[in-house]
Amino acid sequence: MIQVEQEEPVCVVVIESPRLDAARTPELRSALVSIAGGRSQLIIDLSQVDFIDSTALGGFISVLKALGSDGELALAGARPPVRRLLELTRLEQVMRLHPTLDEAKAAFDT
Amino acid sequence: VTPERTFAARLEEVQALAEWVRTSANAEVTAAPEWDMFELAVVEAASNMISHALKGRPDETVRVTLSHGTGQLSVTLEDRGEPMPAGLLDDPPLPEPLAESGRGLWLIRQGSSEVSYARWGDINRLSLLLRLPG
Repeated sequence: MIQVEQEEPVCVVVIESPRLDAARTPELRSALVSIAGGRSQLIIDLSQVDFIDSTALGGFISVLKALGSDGELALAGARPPVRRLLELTRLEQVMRLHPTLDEAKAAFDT
Repeated sequence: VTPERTFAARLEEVQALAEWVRTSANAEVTAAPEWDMFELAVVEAASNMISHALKGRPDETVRVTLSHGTGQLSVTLEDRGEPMPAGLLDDPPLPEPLAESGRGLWLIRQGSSEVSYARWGDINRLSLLLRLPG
């Protein structure tokens, strides 16, 4: 379901499932929280994801909290319906949204 | 003919439920910009029933019925689980951005033109209506 694309300088995780819902999120949340532990920055590539529900939104918050109080989580490549939901639920207030993975990486480089 | 189908009360079935609703609905409705949020509302409603009203009862079912009208679609979900607490769907707030849960009811409301809930005997009946503008 996930692939760690790179470890340094900032960890990038690609979500390979097109659908993040209540059936899949517990496994995803567990894997991402495990990856986030001990790190302070993480990029999640959502470019292959067509659908997310409220449990996935909660999962992203769990990952953000696992990064620590100074942690930074970026979501990259969200498709329009996914991005709209992230904005509607105000998650963009607590994590960065980038149109592409390259832009997300560049933002962490600067 | 009123489209109707019964699904096992398992979270793994919710995707099939959503796909059945989409393929059974009018193209006029599924092509509308409002469709994505309505489909999400249906998914949240079904997941909520399975996770809360029917929690720990995977042998139970969720029955889904569609009702078409001009420029609108009603999706009714029924289960034999625990009743929904009164007023839960009246005006659910959007949780704070750092909340790890609690957005489902808000999304059901946000994605639907109307939401109604009734308890008939031991049956929960939750109806979501999408009414297209104009």
